[in-house]
Amino acid sequence: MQGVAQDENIKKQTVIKDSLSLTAKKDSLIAYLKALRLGTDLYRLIRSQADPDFQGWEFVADFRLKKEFYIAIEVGNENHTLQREQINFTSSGSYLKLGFDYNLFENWEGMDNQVYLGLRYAQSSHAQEVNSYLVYNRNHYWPDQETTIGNRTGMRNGLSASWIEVVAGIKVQLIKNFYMGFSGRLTRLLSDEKPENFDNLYIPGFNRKTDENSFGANLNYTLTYKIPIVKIKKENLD
Amino acid sequence: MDKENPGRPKIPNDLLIRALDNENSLGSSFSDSIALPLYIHKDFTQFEFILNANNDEMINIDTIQINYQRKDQYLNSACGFRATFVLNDPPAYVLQTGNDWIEGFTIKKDTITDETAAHLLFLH
Repeated sequence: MQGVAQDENIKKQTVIKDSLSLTAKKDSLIAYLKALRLGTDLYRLIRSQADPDFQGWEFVADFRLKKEFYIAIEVGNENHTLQREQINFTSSGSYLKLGFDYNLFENWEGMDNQVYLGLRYAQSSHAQEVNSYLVYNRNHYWPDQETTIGNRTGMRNGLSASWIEVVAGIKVQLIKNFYMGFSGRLTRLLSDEKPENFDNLYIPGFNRKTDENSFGANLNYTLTYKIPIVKIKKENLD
Repeated sequence: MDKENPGRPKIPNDLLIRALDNENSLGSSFSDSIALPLYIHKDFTQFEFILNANNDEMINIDTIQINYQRKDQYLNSACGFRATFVLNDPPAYVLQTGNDWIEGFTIKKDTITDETAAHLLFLH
């Protein structure tokens, strides 16, 4: 009877050992995790609180498609009042940016940190309102006085713009599945639907447009949450 | 312009011009063309045309109202908008009638965007 009990104990131990080595084996087989990361831009949220002339938000998402490739998307809305040399105006509207990121950072297994380069195609749909302006005038017989109603003040609806962005950024895991990110973007305007007798001086998502050239820049600080979707095993590595 | 011969410039004698609601005069020595600064916050500007300004017996003040629409033009982000006026038809009239020395107006060019070309001709 004793002998039988001992045998069973040994059996149990080996079973436990086997299952342990199996899980260890299983983990080492995972090359990467296909995962969806969802989050928000903190820069626009904080600026909306701090700057009375700015209201905006941006929702961000990326999906790991292959080991280094991520599909990336940003959707946002801005309402921004600016004072240019002679004109005070408000630009408001939404934008969508779609593209990919290429990760240059060699992760440990299961990790999803990024040092990346990316490309986006972006489009906005917006409106601009001239709040007031000072007429450009070389004759000072009449005192300078802002035009605040009538004439060329007022709303310009139905505007749009499209542009491309070259993105450079990082994403670092803070705590399990939470990532902090920063990205800087150099932009080039492709086309824009200009208002009659005015210009797109600020394009939501694009930032300021200058007369001199069609280049610009913008940025975001993101907080994202990772949702695991598919484990890709090393033998299926593509 | 000469009222008998509207094609011929005629220089008014000892003319002084100033806008109502503005203390400053536009000077007193003019050639046959005068730059009148229009007020950009109203659809009209009133000017006093004072003939023989330095002669108490001969002095003759005509108050003229020039009527226009304001349609400013966007230039660029640095300059912003430029004042642009479109003269009404008729472009102007004499406010107090009786003993007027200005007898009529002719539009030469109705859209005013620059300060060099003549737009409105006064017959006297």
